Amino acid sequence: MELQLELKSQASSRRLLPGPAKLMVNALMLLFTASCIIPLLWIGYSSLKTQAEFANNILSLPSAPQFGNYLEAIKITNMLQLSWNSARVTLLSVIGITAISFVTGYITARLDFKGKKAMIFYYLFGMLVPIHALLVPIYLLFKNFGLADEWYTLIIPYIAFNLSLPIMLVSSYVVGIPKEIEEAAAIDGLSFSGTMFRIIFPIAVPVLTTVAILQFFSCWNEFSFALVLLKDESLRTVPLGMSYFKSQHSTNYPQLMAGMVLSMLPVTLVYFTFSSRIIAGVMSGAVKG
Amino acid sequence: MKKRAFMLGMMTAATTVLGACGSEANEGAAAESGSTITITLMHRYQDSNIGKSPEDTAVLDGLKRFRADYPNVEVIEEQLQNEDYSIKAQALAAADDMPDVFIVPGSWMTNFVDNEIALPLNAELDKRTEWRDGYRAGTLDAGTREGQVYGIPIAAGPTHLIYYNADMFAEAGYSQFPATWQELMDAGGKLAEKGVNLFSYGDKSKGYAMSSWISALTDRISGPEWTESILTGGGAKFTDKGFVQAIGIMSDLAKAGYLNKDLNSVDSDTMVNYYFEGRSAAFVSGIWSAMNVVNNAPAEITDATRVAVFPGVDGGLGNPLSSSGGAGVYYSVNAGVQAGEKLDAIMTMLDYMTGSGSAKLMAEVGGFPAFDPGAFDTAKLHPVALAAYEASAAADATKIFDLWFDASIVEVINTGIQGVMAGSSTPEQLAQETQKAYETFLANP
Repeated sequence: MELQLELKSQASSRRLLPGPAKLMVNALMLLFTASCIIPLLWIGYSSLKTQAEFANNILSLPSAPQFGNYLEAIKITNMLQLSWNSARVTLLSVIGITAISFVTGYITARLDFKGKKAMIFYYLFGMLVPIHALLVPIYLLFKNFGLADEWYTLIIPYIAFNLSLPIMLVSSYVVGIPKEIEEAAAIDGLSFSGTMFRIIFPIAVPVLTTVAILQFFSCWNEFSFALVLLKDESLRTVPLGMSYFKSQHSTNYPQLMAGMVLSMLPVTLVYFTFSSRIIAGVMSGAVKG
Repeated sequence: MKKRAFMLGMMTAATTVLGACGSEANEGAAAESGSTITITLMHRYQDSNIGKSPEDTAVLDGLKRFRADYPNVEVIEEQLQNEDYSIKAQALAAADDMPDVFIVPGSWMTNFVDNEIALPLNAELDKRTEWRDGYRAGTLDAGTREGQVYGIPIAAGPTHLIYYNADMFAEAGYSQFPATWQELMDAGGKLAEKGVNLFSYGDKSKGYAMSSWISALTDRISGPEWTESILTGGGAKFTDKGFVQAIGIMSDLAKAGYLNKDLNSVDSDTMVNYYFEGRSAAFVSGIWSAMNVVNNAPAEITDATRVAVFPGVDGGLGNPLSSSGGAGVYYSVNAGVQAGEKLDAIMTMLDYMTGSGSAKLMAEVGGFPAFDPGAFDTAKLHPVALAAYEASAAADATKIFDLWFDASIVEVINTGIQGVMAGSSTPEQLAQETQKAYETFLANP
């Protein structure tokens, strides 16, 4: 028993840093953590202040919580409508992204064909072009094809612009799956698409979950396309709604923050529900990539 | 092969369904309204700001009245927040797909006129002389090119006013706002002893210095002729004494420590908050800050707040009471709209939104309309808002540089002034850089 303990402590002292350095690293990590958490807490309690309170001292705690800010925020932004629009667009986009990136990622990982490199480069290129450079041409395209200002308008660019990273992730994940599994399936007479959907798909679920969750955030928070491609106010999404609290020369911060808390709720919910999967998925993609 | 045919079929079906959705919706909208004229309108006024912002309140009230009086005209309106509007309008303008009526900031006007996006309105305004002549002197200028009016102004807020805490100045021994720069610097010293900044200052979103300080200060020293000469290429230089001295005054205030240290890294909201917190005795801003003081400052600060303008400068050529001002944004009409019933309805709508009825309401709730409202009900107006209104009405509006100078010059000054205020460059250096940009601009207009 004692020997075991000694061995353990030896092992840990070999693995870990000496005392002061450990303290430093921990302090640094705590600082990083705080820098992420404090703004959220600040938004949370500031959303309960009056505008005058906020103007007088941006850091102080609310003297009497103003839950009315939330009611006001829901009323001003028509939050239910915004959330419904966002949810519909996001959900359909994420399904599209996951499906397309799975098939494309699998094919680029397993098949060799002419122009494969060009295709991979083409998808990579999507990560390099800033969206703002494309706003005008995309707007023109949508306008001329009569696709602008419809409930499904945003789904198209959201899928297209969120494919690059998922394809890379899926592809690198599939490369890590032993080929023998597919060979066995082939010997048993399973078709190519059968192998893809019935054998590989279940194995790739972790990375697809990661893809779905990451792209959920990206679609939920997207702003530029939603701004330019939509005219009809009843189609607006949550990020657009946040601007209702700003006027030309002043901003109602407490109400804006109440709105932000409301808009963050679904995302936070998704994140906390799936946080272990997100980390697992990203790690699996990273190690084998 | 079969599969491929199936996929093709699916895609065609999907496209047809989607297409059908689209056309159905459009037809539905047109049929329901039963209107004869449809106007599309995109602007940066929002229902959520009614009661908070005088401009939003007055313009949207005008639109509401128009809709009630003209049920045969359908206005399809898109409301956007300020910065969102800029992004979207630029994208739509680039795609040549602007709505019938839209907002154009003064600094975009040349571009919109040159690219034939905005319609010249003289012929229409000549039919409505009473309305046209009701606008305050100079407010149509930044929307006018070569004698043709392309934009209808909305508000004409002066961009330079000083809001100061009379109690703090009284404690420092001043019964009113210092009348000379020497006196002001002395006051700065006395306030600094008490740990209070003379002015709070926030130039994070570049442009504050130019619109609230430099335009008015330069005019105090050089007078409006210098500005005209710069605009017409008449020989004036940025290295002339007036511009350098104006920047020098600002630099001196920063160097003496009479402004907050984080002057380049806080925005104007924070600047105003510093004043509310009692960390500064005054701040320089436009008339729009009046309602902010009234609505959001602690009661004792609101009660102590008075309004002034910069002191005159010894030997200055400009009016010592002037403030930089004029209309900043305009309503323009799409160049594609033909003269006739529709244009007529548009002009009537703009009269409702910016003309006498709207102007009276804007003044009553604390704004400064471009259209002169004449006498209006001041009963509901807070003394601070009234003081700001009166100071504005008394001030000669001189040109706001950022609305008039070419964007390349504006950018050099906006960036350079931050260096000067931070102490990393001198007023002379900034003047030379600006002059260089100006000469480049003159050489390739």
